[in-house]
Amino acid sequence: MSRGRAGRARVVEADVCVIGAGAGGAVAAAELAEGGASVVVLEQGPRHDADRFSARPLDMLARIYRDGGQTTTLGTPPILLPLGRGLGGTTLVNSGTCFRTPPAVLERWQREFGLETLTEDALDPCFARVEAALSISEVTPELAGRNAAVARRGAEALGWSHGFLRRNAKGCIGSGVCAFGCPTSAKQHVGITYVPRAEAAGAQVISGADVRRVLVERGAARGVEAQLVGPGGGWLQVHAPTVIVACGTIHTPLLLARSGLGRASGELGHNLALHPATGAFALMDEVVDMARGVPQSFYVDEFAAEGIMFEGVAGPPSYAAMSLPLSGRRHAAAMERYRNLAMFGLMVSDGSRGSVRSLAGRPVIRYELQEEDVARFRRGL
Amino acid sequence: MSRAKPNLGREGLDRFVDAAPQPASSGLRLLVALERRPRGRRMLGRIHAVDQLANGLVAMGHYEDPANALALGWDADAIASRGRALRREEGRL
Repeated sequence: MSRGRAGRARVVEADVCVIGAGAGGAVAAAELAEGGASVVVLEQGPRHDADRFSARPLDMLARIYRDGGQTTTLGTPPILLPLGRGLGGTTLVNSGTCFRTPPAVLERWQREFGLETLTEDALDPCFARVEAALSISEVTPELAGRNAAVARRGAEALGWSHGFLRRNAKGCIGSGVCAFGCPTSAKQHVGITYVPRAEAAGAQVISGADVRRVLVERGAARGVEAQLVGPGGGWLQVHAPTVIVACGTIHTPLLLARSGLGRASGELGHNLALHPATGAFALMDEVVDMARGVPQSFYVDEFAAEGIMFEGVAGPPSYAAMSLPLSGRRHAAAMERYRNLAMFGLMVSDGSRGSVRSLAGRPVIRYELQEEDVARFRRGL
Repeated sequence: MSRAKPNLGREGLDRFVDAAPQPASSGLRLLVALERRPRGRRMLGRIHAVDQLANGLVAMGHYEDPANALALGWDADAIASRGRALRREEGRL
């Protein structure tokens, strides 16, 4: 920071500065504040007012998603990365599905990274604590809607392992727009759960704070410098002996790189895994009304050991229109029968790895889907 | 004098395109402009993937429009209003 800017910056002192109010940052902030620490949370996006959630996908994409939902990888194929923007981070825009980390993944972490303390038994009370805080429960068949019923019927006929997903929702009425701003605030994203808890415990949560760098002295983080966007603007410095960088998979490495941190490992910005996903449509004889009910409510895990997981996906007509792999008259004809369309998604546990770096302040995300993952998609479809 | 009714689909699509990072935003704007003209559509039709993207974009705007969505059983205003009412009733955030 230049001397002039340093002189003009507003300065706040805290025990801990948390950067990002998403799944990682909000939880850390609440736990630390409730434990007695003085905490400042800086969030780049705004504080959204659920009164303005319109249940119209295009409108909401532009408002609550980073880059309007158009953050895209460079590679074959290009992949859209849905990233939330605002208090709640990506929990604001995800479907609400909440899995405990599967035992096979914990075992791999132990094997590859030496994370031997992260066992199922050790994590059980931690998972239970978060599940209680987020009101995580299994979707009921009634709330799951007819799109899930179609998939369930198929899974049952084939004898495939399946079930209803567990998600963070309370008082859900199946509005069908979890990914576009829940109008009932039934989805318990961290912006309405952990963030208010952090604030109630005394944390200062500042939205519209674009953190430019972590301040480092003698090799240790000593605070954060942020540019405030919106009315008033200006610069902010948070002086804190502990800094938690929780800007997500894409933006955390960029901030660390800007701050001159983490480069020595040679791993900064590498090893990006995405769990890429796609969806398939089916034209049914019956009316499905795919967006009525919880879009991601049902799963088929018959092929989980192969790295293929099927999960529900659905949305209002404008969402379906963008997702249909058709054009021209065929597209129009399919959309005329929207009410009879069913949709289901598949997600691949990827072996492919990508990278993130900055170009003119923007993330450049490279990711090539390797042949073994392409094969998983083919098999899944 | 009555004012023209806003076209929520078209406005939504414009905002969506504006929200994309550059240079994608300019590219999408061009695709939308071409897709909205018969000659542009014919041109796009030669490249399948681009044609599909342009078609999807414009269709997204079309079905975002309340009248077109309602014809397919989707009433966004009713869903949003019901959500607001429930939040008030139950004191949700």
